[in-house]
Amino acid sequence: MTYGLQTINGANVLTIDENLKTYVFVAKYVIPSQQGSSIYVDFTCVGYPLVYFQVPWNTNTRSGISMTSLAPNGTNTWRAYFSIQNLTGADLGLYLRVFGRLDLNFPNGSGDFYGARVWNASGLLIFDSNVKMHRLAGNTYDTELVLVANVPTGSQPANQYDASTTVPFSMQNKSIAANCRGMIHYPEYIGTYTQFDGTVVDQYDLRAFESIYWSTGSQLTVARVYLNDQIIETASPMTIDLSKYQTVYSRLSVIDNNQFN
Amino acid sequence: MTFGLQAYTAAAQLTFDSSAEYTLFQIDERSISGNSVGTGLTITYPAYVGHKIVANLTSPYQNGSIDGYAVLSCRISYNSGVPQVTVFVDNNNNGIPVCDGYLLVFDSGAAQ
Repeated sequence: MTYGLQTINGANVLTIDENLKTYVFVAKYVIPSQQGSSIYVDFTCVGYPLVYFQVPWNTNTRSGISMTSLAPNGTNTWRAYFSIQNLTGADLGLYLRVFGRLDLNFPNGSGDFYGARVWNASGLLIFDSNVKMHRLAGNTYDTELVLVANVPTGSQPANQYDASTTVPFSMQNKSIAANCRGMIHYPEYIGTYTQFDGTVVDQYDLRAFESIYWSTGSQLTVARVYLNDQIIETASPMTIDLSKYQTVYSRLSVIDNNQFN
Repeated sequence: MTFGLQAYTAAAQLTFDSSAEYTLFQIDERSISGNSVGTGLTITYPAYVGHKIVANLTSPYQNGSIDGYAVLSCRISYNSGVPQVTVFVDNNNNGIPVCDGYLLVFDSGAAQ
């Protein structure tokens, strides 16, 4: 830096630098608890948002959630879609937490009279002590999730499709940022019959599966859950190309909700 | 704390302690065109050699269906200490379109 302010923490890592941009907590929003694959939350954020969604903890019911998309929904407004399986019979109490660029979302600061603010040489606000800066649970904990491309079988996928990651803290009251495998459709052959006109018809059960997250203790689990199915008929046998099932690698970041309320 | 900056509210609530904070600084943001990823897009950050970075990849496609759109993956690696992010699809399109994405990358400041 040429001029301005830098601070470092006890681990000798920068915590304020006038030359670097920071993301800060903007707001939190309720995620509806109903079950489905097209549940959405609209929110405002100037610039591209960084979002964390809360995951159910210790429900022991295979209730979970995944964020399936994040897209602009107008000027400075966004829509995040979720898939949710809620087997608890109660409100899951989940929130979406939104982070955005400090200089874009709070260009004049928090408005508080006490505290500290730092601007860079261009006059952009780069620190305000009354705005909560993006910070991870475990401070620097960030890891990789591997969502293995298992081919679905059966209408009720069993626990062998679950994949768990143990984090170095309790997942209670935590939120995650991670992408997911997405929805998978799998057509299972049922049988063949002949119509009155002699046409031979093949029947398939087209099952839809979704990957969702939940947590237990210090474990984050991603699991495949069955959503729905429909019977389809074809005049000739379908070619089921299993090579399209792919393993998905995702980064996992976790925040402590208590720091962002 | 012995050295650094602390800030308080009017009610004397500590809101910032530079010795205890862990700030993630944004070092990159970019749109990812699924069709341009090909066999993999690798982005390196030599200015942050030795540092641990954090990456977040999202997509505007609701379903991200494997049978509708191939889902983008995101991995971090460190090549001789230089952080790098790779965005790719596992099966290289395979006849289905690849979903677009948006990538945010942060410097944690911590050692790798």
